Amino acid sequence: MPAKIIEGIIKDYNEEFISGASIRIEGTLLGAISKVNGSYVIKNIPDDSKKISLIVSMIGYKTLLLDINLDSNIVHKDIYIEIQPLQIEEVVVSANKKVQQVQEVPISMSVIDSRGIMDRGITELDEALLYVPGVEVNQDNINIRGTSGFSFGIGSRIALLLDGFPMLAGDNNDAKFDAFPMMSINRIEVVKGAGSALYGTSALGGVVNLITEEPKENAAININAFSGIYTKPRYEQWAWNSKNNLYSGINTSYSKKFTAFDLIASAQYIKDDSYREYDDGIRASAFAKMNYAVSDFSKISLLLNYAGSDAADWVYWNGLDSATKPPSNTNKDIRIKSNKLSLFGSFNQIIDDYNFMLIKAGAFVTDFRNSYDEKNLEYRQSNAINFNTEIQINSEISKSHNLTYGANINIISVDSKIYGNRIQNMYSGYFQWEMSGIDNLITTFGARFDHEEAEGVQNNTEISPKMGLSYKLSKLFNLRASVGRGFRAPAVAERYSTVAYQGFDVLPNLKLKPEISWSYEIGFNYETKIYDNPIYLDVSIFRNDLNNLIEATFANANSANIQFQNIKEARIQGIELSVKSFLFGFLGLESSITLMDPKDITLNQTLNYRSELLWYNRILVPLGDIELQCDYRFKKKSENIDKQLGLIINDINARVDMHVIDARIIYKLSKLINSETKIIFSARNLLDYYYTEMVGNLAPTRLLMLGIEAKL
Amino acid sequence: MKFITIVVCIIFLFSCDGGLEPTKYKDNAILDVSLNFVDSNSNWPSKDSLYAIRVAAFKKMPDSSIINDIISGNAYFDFNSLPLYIDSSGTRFIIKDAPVNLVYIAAVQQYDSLLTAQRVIGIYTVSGDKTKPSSITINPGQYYSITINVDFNNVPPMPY
Repeated sequence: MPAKIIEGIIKDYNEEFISGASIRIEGTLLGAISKVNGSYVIKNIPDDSKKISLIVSMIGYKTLLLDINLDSNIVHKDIYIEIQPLQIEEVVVSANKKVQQVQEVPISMSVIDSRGIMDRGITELDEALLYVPGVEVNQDNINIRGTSGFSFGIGSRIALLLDGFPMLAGDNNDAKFDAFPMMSINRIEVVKGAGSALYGTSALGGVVNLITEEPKENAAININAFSGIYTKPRYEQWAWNSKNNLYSGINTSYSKKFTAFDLIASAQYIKDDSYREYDDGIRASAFAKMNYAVSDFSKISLLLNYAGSDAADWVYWNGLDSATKPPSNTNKDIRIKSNKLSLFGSFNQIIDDYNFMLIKAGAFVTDFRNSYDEKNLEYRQSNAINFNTEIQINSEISKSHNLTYGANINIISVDSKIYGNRIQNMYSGYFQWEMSGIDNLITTFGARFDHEEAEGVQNNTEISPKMGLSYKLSKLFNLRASVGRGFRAPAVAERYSTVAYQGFDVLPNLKLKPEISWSYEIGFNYETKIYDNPIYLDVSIFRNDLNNLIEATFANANSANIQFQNIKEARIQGIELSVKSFLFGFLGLESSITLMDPKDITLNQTLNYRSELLWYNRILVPLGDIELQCDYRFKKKSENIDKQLGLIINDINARVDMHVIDARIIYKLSKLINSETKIIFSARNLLDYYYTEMVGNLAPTRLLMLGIEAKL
Repeated sequence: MKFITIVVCIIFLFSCDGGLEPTKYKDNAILDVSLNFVDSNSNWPSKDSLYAIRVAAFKKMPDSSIINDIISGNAYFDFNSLPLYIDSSGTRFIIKDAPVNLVYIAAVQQYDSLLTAQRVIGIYTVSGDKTKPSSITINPGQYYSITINVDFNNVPPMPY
């Protein structure tokens, strides 16, 4: 008897085909993702199966559980799914380098979908991460569950990926928040905890992976234009000009699937006058992704993204009494120009029913320079190429054993006035074994080998293991546990810096060792209904042990010279609780609370720049054609900062808890003009609450915006 | 139910305070310090021993290191250097925690790249005796102006 097949089409109740939905046979690894015409096929269903349960899920839609009788070898089943404004059940993710349900991942994850990005008017990655449970953005640093403090972004402890390609700059190892095509992002996956077993260096505290949209079957053009105004500050001392300061922009995207070739492209232009003097900027970007189906079993993809910006070089305020102005001796004629180019290609090959191969190669090129004369001590310039190539194979060894393995070469080349001409190479191999032999239990273990070579420093080899368990206690109750190691090789900037910067001299340090972390976590997620109100609950207890942490520090207690040094050991323990619900059929609620104890073991005090309490909330109220949305974010002020900053920054203790409300009214015009068009009126920092994101930096004040989003 | 939800949200929204605020100007005191450099054309030290000139106003006499007292919050201080090789210059302190008694106000020269490499080159003294610094009491909302004479060839003794 041959294996059975189930196939069909997935639509919503408007008869629109649903592309990218996950269809999975409960209790097995069998599943499929719907294509652009909504079609899906699941093969290799054991021939003795009589009845199966299908789980169908998709961002923005209610997850569906369907019982299906397999009364023939080929069963045709069309499926309708229902739109749900707030995602209660999570969906498929690719955090483990394979597609799976988020409930099956043994480590904490959060997902931001494209709707959450577009509704909030997000144009840069950091704006999106502000709403993720357990995540903070400390100016240029992404901080997941307290693993990162503040270092002007240098040496990110979070791996940052675009469709799986590394996107940290080769020189500073920092995140370039404007280097992502937010108009063409399908979802952002945030893995919390060490991820070096699969992703290597930088995944010390977690991984942020942006997944781009797939082209649509029919040609689709999206336009999103907006303009906003920063309201005048409440305090006369903070008013720094008499004109209206605007924030305006336009995004467009195009998507079309042809016979064997498909294309998605987008472009963005943003002009920001800023709420502060000498903080304005202009940025523009363009993105294209092309897929070519060589055969039914192989596909070539090419991704190209460019982003450029011209901005003032704001660093810190003049003081609390003039919080919107830079220090009085700042040269306001100086600008910083920055270019970011990503060019990635991949080749996907289905080798047979059990083996899948992915080969990819690409480069992330960054360049920045300020407008000082090259002979000036404050002149800064750096150009870096982060080249990456990888081969990955997924093999279904048997029905209950899945193996993912691969090899990776990463070459960083830097040509810089401040860091010199440097090369940093990393050679890696990894594997991950997933077993589901015991009923309802998925066991994952794996490891990655990384070998680093860099000029003038000792070669370094790291082995990063991990293990995870995911146990389905019932259909709606999943337990998880994981342990994993992370590491971060020092960035070129940390090793080789020789720069005068804002009153400091930064010195090189060739003796830097990699940072190491061990992450431990247990948690569960549970779905239930109370009086027909769906409730999704996720709880994690976590601990991160961090060693050899690299911090920019004064070379000695009385010197104005700064050097990056391995000086800290830290332990961060905490608990995170997330709840989602859609109450009484009209009120969407999302709330998360993260309680942490970020301990600096070296100094026996709370780690600098860490908050001990994060509380993020979201409310959605759909009222026919109008939807009200509101985000409220609370962050307890960080207890400790680097007090020596007080030598150059005034009023470093002017810090308060953060209370920020972002609200918006979305008016859908579809009934009026027969088109998916929305008008969005939004207020960021609605209450005009004043706080500092980082020492000596007033966070964005109230911004009122009006936008239109049209799908043609 | 919808109405109640919206009302609860609005009450919550407007129950927060406004966060940071500038200090009230009426409570601030201003202290202007002028520096006069004696024989400025010939007296200034060479560039390799002149990294910065600053003014520090101490709430208590510095007892070990000028920089340590500044870091510990014992003094008003601006990290930025005043202009070099000129006849006169000055700085302004906006004092937000008045009333306060300033017992030692000094012009200091940083003579090496180390921040500890500081020497006193002039003090505020009403009598003109460089061994007897004068104190000044700063009250809220008041304006004060003082002058310090600096002679690189005849500097006051260090305070410790």
